Amino acid sequence: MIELINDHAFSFIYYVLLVMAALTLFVLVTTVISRWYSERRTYRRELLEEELGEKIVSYVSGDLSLEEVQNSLHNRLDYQVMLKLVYKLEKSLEGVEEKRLQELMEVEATRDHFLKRFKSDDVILKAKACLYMSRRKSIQKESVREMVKLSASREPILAYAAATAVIAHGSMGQKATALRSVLYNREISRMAIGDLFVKFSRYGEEYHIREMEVISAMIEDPKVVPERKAILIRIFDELEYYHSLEFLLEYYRPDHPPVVMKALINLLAKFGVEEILPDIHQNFSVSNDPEIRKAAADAMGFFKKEESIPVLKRLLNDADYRVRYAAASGLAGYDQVDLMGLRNEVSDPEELDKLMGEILAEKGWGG
Amino acid sequence: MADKKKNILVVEDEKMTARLIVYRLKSLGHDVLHIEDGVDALKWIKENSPDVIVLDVMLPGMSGFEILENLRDDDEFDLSNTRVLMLSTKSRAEDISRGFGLGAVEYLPKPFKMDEFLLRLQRIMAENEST
Repeated sequence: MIELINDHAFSFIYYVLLVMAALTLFVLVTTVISRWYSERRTYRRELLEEELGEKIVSYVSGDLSLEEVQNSLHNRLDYQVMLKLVYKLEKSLEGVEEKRLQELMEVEATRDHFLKRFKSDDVILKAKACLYMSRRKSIQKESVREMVKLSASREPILAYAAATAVIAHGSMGQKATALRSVLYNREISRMAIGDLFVKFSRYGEEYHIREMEVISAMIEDPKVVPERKAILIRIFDELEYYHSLEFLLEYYRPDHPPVVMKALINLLAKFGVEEILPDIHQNFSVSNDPEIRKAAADAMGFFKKEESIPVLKRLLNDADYRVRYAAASGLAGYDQVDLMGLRNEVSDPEELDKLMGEILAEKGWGG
Repeated sequence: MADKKKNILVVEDEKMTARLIVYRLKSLGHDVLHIEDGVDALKWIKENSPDVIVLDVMLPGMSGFEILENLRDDDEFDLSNTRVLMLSTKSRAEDISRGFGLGAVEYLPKPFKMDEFLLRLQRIMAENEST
């Protein structure tokens, strides 16, 4: 064996090197080709966006006919780009221009293109078709039912897109079902959930009574995890559902999970519910969870009650920096508190000076 | 047709919004240039002193606020001859007051309707002519 290796050592090394060189060359060539292909695709897409964008803007401005825009749509990429451009433009238009944009979405060729994709098994294509349908004036009831089912998909993009379409076209029951499915899906981001509820509110009635009831029922749903409940509580604030106060007071209990409690404290303080102050002083300001102690300090700073001053002073020495900052910020809002005198209350006066400097600068009180 | 042709710079990185603005302003008879990057825009402004700048806050290279700070601190540039309309998704009171503090005369939160945008732009251009 050793003899054989000795006899053919040179040839053996030669072949190994040859194979390695061939492999390296192959990797190099494929990298160059794939890079070239990807750059070409990006360039083509940018060029198409440029051309189609000009046409759509001319069309909505009344300077180009619908047929002329339609004639520019030939393949899948054209439709994808068109849809993307329409989404970007729709928020800026109203009146006759908005109507023109809507007509572009309702053209038979556009509709057929997306309906075909709705029947596809490809998740992305299906999701895009759902988003298209969410923008249409109306869709068939059967399609809405189908999309309610799709909102329970484990694929986050499809569930989100389907829920968007259900919110646009479904009954209140169907909307609630779709939103609940989305809430149960841990893969869907907080931002996407927030966006869906904003849409839910936008398509709702004037006073949002039923929307508020739907969200309240979800907060009480034991299958909805605490993190998602906290999002829903914050949504009440973002959507300015002030009539949710009655529900929140009923729902309020100091033994909720910390993440829910924090959202509740923030919102109830914002609503001016001073009844939570005793709990803030006795329970939340000494909670093991720094997020709760911070929410308590924020709330006390919001109410500015005399009896909160000693509690806030105590929190100036909290183990968590964010709590110390919130306490200092709260105390800075009291007229009767001598800010310089607070240096005697803390273990690190230099840090307090720094905190106060930042807080006063942020509030525009410095200098 | 505009009463008086203006030299307008649109600094906006969102292509479709920019395209719509440029199209409308050109159809009103103004001279319009579109720049996406903050650094390029600053350079162009210093060299050309446009009558009006439509300025987005979030830009690649340099933010709209930074552009205005830079112009304010430049002794050789007189921002009082230029009307600035800021566009931004940042609509908190402190962002708006920061924009005004740096020399903007209008601040339009995004998304905005085109008609509203044109109305505000025409107003600031009319104010400029009367001063």
